[in-house]
Amino acid sequence: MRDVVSENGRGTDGTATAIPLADLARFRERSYRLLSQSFLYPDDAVVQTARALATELSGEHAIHDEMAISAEFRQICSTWRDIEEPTLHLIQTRYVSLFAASADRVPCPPYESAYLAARGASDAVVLASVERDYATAGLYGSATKKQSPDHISMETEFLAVLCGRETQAWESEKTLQGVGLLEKESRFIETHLGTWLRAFARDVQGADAGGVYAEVAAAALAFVTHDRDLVEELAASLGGEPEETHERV
Amino acid sequence: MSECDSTAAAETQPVAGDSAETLVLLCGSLGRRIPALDPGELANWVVESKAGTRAVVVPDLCSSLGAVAEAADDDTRTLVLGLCSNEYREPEFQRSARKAGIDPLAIAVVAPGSYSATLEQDQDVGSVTKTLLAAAVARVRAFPGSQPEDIRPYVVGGGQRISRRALFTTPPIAYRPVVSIDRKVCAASTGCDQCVEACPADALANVDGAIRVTRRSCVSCGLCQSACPTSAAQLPGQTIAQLEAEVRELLTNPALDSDVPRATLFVCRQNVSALDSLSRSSSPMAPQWLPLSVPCSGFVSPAIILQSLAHGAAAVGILGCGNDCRYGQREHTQGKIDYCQKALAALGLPSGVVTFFDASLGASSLAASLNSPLEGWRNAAALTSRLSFSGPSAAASALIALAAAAANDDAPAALDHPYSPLGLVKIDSDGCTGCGSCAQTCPTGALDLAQGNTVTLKYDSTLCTGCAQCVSVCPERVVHVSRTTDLARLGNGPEGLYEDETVRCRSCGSPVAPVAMLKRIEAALSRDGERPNDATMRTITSLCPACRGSGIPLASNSGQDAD
Repeated sequence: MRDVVSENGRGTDGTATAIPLADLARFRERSYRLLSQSFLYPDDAVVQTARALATELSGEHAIHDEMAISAEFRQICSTWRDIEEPTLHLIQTRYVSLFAASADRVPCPPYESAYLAARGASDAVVLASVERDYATAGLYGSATKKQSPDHISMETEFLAVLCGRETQAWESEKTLQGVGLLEKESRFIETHLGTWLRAFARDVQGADAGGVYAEVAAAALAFVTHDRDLVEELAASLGGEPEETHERV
Repeated sequence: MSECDSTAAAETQPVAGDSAETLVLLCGSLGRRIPALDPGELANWVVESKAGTRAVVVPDLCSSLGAVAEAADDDTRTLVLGLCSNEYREPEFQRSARKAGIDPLAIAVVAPGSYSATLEQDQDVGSVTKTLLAAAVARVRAFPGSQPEDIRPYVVGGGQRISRRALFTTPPIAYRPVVSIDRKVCAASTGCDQCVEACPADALANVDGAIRVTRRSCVSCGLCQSACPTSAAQLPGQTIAQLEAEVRELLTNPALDSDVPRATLFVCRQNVSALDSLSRSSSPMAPQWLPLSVPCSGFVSPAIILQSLAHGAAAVGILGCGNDCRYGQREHTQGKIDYCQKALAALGLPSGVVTFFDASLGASSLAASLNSPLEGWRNAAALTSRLSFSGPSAAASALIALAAAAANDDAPAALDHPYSPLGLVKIDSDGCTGCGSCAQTCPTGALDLAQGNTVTLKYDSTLCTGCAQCVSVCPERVVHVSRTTDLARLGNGPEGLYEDETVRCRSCGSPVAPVAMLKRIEAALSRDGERPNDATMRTITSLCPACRGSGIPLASNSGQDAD
């Protein structure tokens, strides 16, 4: 945990570092992308991407100092960054046994519809609702990498895309667009990812005690819990600022 | 601003103890501010008296809270800061602690510099300071660690829009605890919503039998925790268990002579700076007052006050807001104090040992109040027994202990009071049918229905919080609850409120219903001239529902019994 946060990252006087909103949004984009990759089948390409993202995130000292990004999230950054070839096969086996064991018995189905069905929601309605949100943002599922739209890696990837757009909005000083994206992110967490992640994470932690995916699930829950509050707070604090008040800072 | 002298030259940094779970950081300026205090000696004492503790004296810690990250090591889990005053910048030390990987809720701050300055110089300032530090260590160690859901970020200076100039940088963020509800013990499914009623911010709601927390609305006042009869509501980092540990240490730590009377002063966190104002006034306060911070004065329940007294506190004070309490608790706090005073008087004990101090009256008035000599009563006999602030019986067990200490021959009168933490249930036994709805809904188990050859409704007045859920569910409207502490009754244990014979199934022998219930059924079915014939009625009143459902023909349409 300590190795993620450099002692030399900034001064030790305890005063706040002003983090540009664009930098924070970029950090969150990478974090959601790391979570998305973490819930894909860990082939070589996925692991390489996760390792690169984890390395980048570990270097974000100022943000780690400013935000209470939990120990669980820092841990998963270390795990992906330091993952070695011999353990990869074990992780792949574990992935299949947890998330894709068989058609009729998946211990931890990584799908929103699987969890909301237990509360009486129709699979079709859940899928349509998620797809509508993607389509409203101008996004459609990949034709080559087919994945159910309510898979956790899709939902976290969608949030990564929104955070990426938010980064651009802050960089180009489009205030209303930035605030609007914060509100979209908040709404998506509220209506989709946040409704089932806790139960899913609990299942994974139970089925993979001490394993990498228990770590990943704990990190996802911790990060999304923090992000849900943070985004809501930022949107409320920044909202309502008129576009014409832009000024370079 | 901090009152420690940030311009002074850095001193040496004595480090006491090896790497340990609890880190105690002491401001090196304490010695300059209070000549009787030697930070190095304090550091050594903490390490020697509290295993698993490391102590470091940091020059001008109050003005360089970033030093937390430098002083912590990989083993550090909990943190105690000993500062010169209470006027520190919380977001800064939060940030520094985060950087060190310390649980943001496992931190306690004491300000011996401020507190000690309120004492006469000839008083044993060092021993008092040691006791306060030991209590803070006990407090952080009693916290099991936070979960990701236990904290939420907020924009410092919240409620204001971020300025235009600052628009493209992240506003300063700090963290506060959010109440958590343990659903395994929460009684919301039976209709309990005492936490909802106590919440001043509408952050809690009972939705379909489960408490829903609106995280953004939670103001971390802890009033829900204080009101919860089953200890399901917890304010992480400021739990009742932590407060218990802190008070226990304040009342028993051997640094202070056991003959010295000790009084707990619960200080609302909005008013901790009042102690700093006090330290600048010329009038010292009585040395017996040992301050500890609580989220809100309304958090201090009669159970906490009475338990403190029962366990040896010579007095209990609450330092709270005046009429401008942001959570509207002034009246409630006064009401709780008034109840405790009347309960003590009823037991023949001095009522003046429980006092409210209004922080809004200013330092000189406050100093005059706090400098009044304490009344000479203390329950020294109870110092070693178990102190417990939580659970429905906490108030009752404290009253029982205080009654024993008072050794008053006269039986105390029952005390009716709107802030009584105990209720008194009465039942019109003529109308009761023994259905047990009241017992099923009782969140604390004060009412219990025992079924055998007889049906007995038992009542334990020490567990009754007067929530009156039993009143609202009683179909016969025969349950009555008053906010009454029946002092003479508390030590009697559970008593029977209602008893009736159980009618058993003529077929299988399992219970059908109490006699009164069957009479009630018969009366209900006889309304409007539609009374079933005798055979049907006999079937209903002599067979259990399972046997009736299985078609055992004990009665025929002709009205003749089949057996």
